[in-house]
Amino acid sequence: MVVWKLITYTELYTPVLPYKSTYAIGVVENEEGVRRIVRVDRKFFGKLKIGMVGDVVESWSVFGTIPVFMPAGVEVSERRVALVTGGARGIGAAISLELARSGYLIAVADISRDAEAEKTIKAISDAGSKALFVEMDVSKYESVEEGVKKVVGEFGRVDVLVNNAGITKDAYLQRISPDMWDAVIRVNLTGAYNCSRVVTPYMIRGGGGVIVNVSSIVGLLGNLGQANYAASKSGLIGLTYTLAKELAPYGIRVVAIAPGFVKTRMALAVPTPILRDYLRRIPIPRLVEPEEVARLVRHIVENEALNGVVIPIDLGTTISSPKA
Amino acid sequence: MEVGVVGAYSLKYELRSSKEVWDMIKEVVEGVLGKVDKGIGKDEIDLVIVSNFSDRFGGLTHTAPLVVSYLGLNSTKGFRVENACVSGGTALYIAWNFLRSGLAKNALIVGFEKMSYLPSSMEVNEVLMQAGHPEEVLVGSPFVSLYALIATAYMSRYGAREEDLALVAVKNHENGLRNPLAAMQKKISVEDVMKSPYVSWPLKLYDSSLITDGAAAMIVSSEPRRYTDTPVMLRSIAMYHDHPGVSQREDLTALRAVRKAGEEAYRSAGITPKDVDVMEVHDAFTIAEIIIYEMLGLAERGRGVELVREGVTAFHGEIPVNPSGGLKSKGHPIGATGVGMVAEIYWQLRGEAGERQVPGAEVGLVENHGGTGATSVVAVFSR
Repeated sequence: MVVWKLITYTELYTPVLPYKSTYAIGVVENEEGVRRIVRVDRKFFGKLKIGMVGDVVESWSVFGTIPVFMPAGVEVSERRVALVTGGARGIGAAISLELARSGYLIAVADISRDAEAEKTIKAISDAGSKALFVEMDVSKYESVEEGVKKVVGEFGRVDVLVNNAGITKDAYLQRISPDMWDAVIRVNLTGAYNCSRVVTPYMIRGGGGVIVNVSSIVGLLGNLGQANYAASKSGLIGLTYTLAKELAPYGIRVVAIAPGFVKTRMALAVPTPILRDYLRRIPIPRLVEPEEVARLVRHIVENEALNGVVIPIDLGTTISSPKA
Repeated sequence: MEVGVVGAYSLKYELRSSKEVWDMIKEVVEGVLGKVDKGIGKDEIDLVIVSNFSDRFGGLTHTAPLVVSYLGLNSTKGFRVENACVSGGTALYIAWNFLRSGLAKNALIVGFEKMSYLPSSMEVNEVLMQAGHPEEVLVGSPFVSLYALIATAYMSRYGAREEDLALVAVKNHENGLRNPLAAMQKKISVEDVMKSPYVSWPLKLYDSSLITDGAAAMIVSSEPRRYTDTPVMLRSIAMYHDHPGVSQREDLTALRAVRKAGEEAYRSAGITPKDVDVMEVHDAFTIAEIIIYEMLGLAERGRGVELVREGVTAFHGEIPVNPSGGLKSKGHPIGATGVGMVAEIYWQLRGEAGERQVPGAEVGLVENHGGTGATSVVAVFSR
């Protein structure tokens, strides 16, 4: 086998057409003094050094066959890191646990470290992973900055961000006070903006990542008494479409999920007659389990072809007639 | 035979011009014709060379007849030249040869580029990248990455630091503050450069020249004193090449074409680097200016950073380099760049450079190159 030695390199953080991607570029030389310009996968960001040896393989693309340098003996951390906002309870806790089971280190971000948070943290370590609790108010930019710094300080990177933190303050329009409006928008929508903005530079330097925005079927269909919540969840969809376009070149995928009513404290707070009426109108008349949502999130994280879509997980709510 | 510059004109370079390229061209043609001391008739221009890199930066090709038409459709001949970022330097090189051989007497050189014509830097960089070696294009190496490969090798070999490169940006931005034609008149500090995001490690946003719109024009004549009593004489001009691919070069930290063109230009002009009072050089990225110092004989290999660290090339230094602000602060509208560099030296040697005038400048040098230095043109001028 021909051994190639890296004689200079750069990490490209500004994608260029037609590849729309970040990667490292190097010049390698073999024993006979033959030199080649090569590409290096972005998973080696921060790990390249002049003098490193490795193999060059040819990688097919529609634009031509690209020589790719594979450095030998470089450890690329397989322990990936997920930051889940509102990760202590409900859907967030289920997502945290599911990702922990598939090997992720979990940063559980929540407003306060209560008994439920402790339970989630314990479940994560019982699953063989590690949890870091981050006290974070997603509606406050400084709090997010501080929290993310803590995560990067402890785990070294962020690969997955799940914008899950959400609240409701339900009422019909005339009863939604400006404060109720603002509170919901700030946590559900501004929170996702804050976290995405703070986390993205770390993901770019880490060679990419995935952002999952937890929207809702209410964001697709609207719902009586939830103007603020529905607007925030629709807002997340626009945020998803836009960031999916903007961040794809950096190896960051952005996907939204739109759960129907999920068996959590939030859904069970809906007055029983309304909930019963809802179930009568949908094809599969039950609530979605948090674990089912969590499995979808894990799939999104793993399936690299998913980007810029909103995936309903709703037991058929969006096809029910009349619309729920 | 004498060849001298008898007029120069430039638009203020802009990050996003509202002008269409044909209006930019018309403005600089009329501008330069009006700037010749003793006047020049449109029918006295017998050669037009238009310097423009890409029709994707302005949406216009076949621009020479447009200029000839502005001149009144006499017997003037013209064509466009493309030699990447050294299109302007190449236009002057061709004009010099036409004039010296007697094929023309007065050449009008027009350079332009409207890079904001494309909607994103991702597309701009793709167009620019195509001036590299085919293997570099295939791998997807924009110019910032190719210069970053050079910078990494240079820093590793000579122990230069990112902060050293930053000093070039700081110097050229400082100079740009005095130049009303500069696109970005903004004072920056080493900290600002260091805090700016990496574009292609180790090069950052503030290590990079500006994507710019602009146009410039000049008139060169084989009878310069007929048109002005104070022409700026083109003493020598040389063009050399290097392998287009960075990986093809024996020494990754050298720019052979710049060195060879510089040596020949000095020799033909009968001068040494010490005789030069002011230089405009191709600082497409900060690392380039450092290496150019070494290639042009201002510093020994590996010691280019000392010049900028000690202020030798600063505006008040021994040999001011890029008093215009350079590509870094003045801007880099590809086709206009080389023409604008010559215009700057023309003004400097005539004492017309205003606030940025280098006192008593008598000999000036322009170094304009394309790609990562695959083609370099070096020209020496004197009063």
